[in-house]
Amino acid sequence: MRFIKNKRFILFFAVSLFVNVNTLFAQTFKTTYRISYQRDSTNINSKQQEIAFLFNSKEYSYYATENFLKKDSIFRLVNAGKVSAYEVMSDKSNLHHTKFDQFIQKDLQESVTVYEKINIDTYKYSINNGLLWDILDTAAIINWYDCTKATTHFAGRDYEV
Amino acid sequence: MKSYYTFELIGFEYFAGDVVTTVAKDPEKIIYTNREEVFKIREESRNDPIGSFDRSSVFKSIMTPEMKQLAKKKVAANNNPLELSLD
Repeated sequence: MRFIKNKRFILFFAVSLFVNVNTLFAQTFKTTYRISYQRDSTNINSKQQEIAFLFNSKEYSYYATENFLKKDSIFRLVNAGKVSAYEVMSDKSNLHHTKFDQFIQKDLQESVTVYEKINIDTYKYSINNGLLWDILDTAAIINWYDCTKATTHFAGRDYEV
Repeated sequence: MKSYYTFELIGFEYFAGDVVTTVAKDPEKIIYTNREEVFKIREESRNDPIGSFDRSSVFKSIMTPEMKQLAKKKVAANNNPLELSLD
């Protein structure tokens, strides 16, 4: 077990060596969402919740979960030498878990770029946001919002909203 | 099997601070690929976290083959591979 902790420390330290800081923009709007999700409908224990933020400026929008941003901020502090990797790893409250290890950037031309962290690598890819929505007649009030049902298809999956 | 995601709007405010991130800054450290490839790597990582670490580019750069073998033996003895998950 101690070895595994040491390994985590090594990996965390290695990641911190490779990151830099990027200020994306200032002066914007921040929308906060509570995401309730169940990835496997056959497993009632898979229900979970996370908080996510959408930042909007005139040119771009950025989306990520709160825990992704917290984790990213800690990397930034380590990278800047303000805290050591050991200090971070020695306190469990510094370890923020997210099931959405993605940072999504969208520009006004509707192109979407996703930065996704899988283990300790960062992958970048673009996706076409040209979703074709079918607006249906079904309406409902959900959490005091007037909602209309819509469906679309993306990447081999059907979506109902 | 279906997946359900509900996004509930719980806050909207003017944000005067900077949005700062470590991602997207250093192109040399980013692996450019496509969505399908990332989907495959993500699934692989969930099903085989140890193997996934082995294939990680950063992991490869800091761990010698001997260290990797030792890690596998320790984890096998511990019989809890999920302990290696970083997220």
